Amino acid sequence: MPLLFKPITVILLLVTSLFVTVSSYAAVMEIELAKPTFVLPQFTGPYREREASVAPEEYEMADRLRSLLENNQRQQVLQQLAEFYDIELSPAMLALKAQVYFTLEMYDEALTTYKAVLSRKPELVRVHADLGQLYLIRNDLENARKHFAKAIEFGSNSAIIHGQLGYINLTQYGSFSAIAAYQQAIALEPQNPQWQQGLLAALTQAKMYPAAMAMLEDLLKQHPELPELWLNKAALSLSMGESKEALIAIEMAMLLGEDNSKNIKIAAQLHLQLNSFDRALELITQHINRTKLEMPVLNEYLMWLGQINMWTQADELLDDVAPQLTTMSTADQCLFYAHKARIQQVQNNPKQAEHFYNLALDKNPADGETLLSFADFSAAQKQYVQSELLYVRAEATKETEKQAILGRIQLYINLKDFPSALTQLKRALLKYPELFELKEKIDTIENIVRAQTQLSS
Amino acid sequence: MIKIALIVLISGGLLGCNSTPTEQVNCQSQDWYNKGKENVEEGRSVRHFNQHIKQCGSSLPTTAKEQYIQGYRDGLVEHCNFDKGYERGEMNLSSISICPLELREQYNKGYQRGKQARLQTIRDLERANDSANRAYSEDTAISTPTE
Repeated sequence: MPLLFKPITVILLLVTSLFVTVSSYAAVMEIELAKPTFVLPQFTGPYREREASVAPEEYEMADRLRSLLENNQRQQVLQQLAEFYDIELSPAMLALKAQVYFTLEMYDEALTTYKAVLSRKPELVRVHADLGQLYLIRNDLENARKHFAKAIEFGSNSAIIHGQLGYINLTQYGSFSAIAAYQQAIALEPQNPQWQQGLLAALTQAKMYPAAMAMLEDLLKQHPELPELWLNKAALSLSMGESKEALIAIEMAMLLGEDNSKNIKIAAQLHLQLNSFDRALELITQHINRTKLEMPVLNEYLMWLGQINMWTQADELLDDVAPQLTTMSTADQCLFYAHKARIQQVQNNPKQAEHFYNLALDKNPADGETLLSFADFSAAQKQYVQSELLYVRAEATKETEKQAILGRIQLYINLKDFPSALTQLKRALLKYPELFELKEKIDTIENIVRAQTQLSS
Repeated sequence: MIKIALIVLISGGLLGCNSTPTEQVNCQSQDWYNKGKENVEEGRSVRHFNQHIKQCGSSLPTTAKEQYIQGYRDGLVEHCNFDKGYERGEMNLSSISICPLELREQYNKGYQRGKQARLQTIRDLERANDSANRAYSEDTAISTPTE
């Protein structure tokens, strides 16, 4: 980047999400990557004569303005230029005025003035480039693209213009249109990480994985110490369905200091998928202990462990977080005890399970999911009255109402209480017409009830 | 008496040089776009508009400046080109000095060519005149009886 340019804080983001479905867990893994960015230059320098000349009668003023600019006296420069009608100024002087407006963040004035320059000299490369950047700042990507393209059309061979065009194409017109622009930028500035990152994102989004991987391998040879490159490799490997390669790359990134929670979670998930349970558990515990406990995260871990029957480990994980119990909300405490109850239930400790279910409902008596689980558990324990009561309570929660009615129907059928089952079946069909298969069951049970009535009479 | 008359004459002459006749504009109904174009034709600087500002004061419509400048700009495009430069050069008129830098080169080129063309025409005419004179001289020389 030329020394004339001073970075300002306009950092633009690129979307580089990579989604890969991992079949065994039917979950979506999305590696958290550093976003491709670029720093927009700000204009501080005087006009450049090679692009547009000042009029001979302006030489004296140009010298004066140059020294004012060197002393950062931009307002004074504006004051001097304001003494003239724009049409009296040469395009070079007018472009300088626009640049000063731009530097002073007077964007509306800058825009009008740049346009006035172009109406007089439509081929001024520098003005197209500046205008493109001004539009970029104002998030008018369509116009920014138009002017960057014009700058290139009129001969600009600046890496930043190609790179910015690449960025806009990537966000607005898809990855294929961005690749060539980024390649051009890289050709001009091979070591610029912004263009490398942009090209990598464009290649990845275009699903040109081998090309992206080749580029990444090359970058890793140059900078093996950068965790973000390893993360990129992990994301790319996941896209290519190479879980083992992805895991190695994430582990490398973590070794180099990567500690994004989402990526640790993915590493744990990949370890579980590849049967390296100890490391998975180590990462899970490390994650849970390190961060402020988030119940959805804990839930997800417990679900994974449950899927591979690692109940003991799941229980240990809960024991690890038990000291934080008092800091949790009552809703989270309820979830904690519900997990404990389910683990005890699976491990065939019904008394313990019931104890934890009760503790859970003490914390949140209206938690539908816990009420449902406890009701199912009670039914299995032949505690029918308690089960019925719990189903009724679960019906009060909108999310579990349907499931609770169906659970209660099943309970009545199991208990051969067909009239009650029939009443609930009709109620369920009325409330949920989409459950049309219930009609058949209603007919069957109606027949049974009719037969029972006839028998008893 | 003669002295007084001279002073009056000289003063009158100086005053005449110094003052631009005030243009009468109807501030409200003036077509400012055309005014801008007219001023280019007259070779006036865009700053001439300042006089209108002064003259009209608050009765100057808010859009007047913008319209005037647009007209002035269009006038410049119409006048500051090769053809117009050529025309003025060929007619031996003075070159207008209000052309902006980006139009100046073509205008000046046209003006110079026009001037050259004019000179060439004059030279051609002179040459033709010379030839005619020579022929006449020769004719008269032949027809003069030798004594």
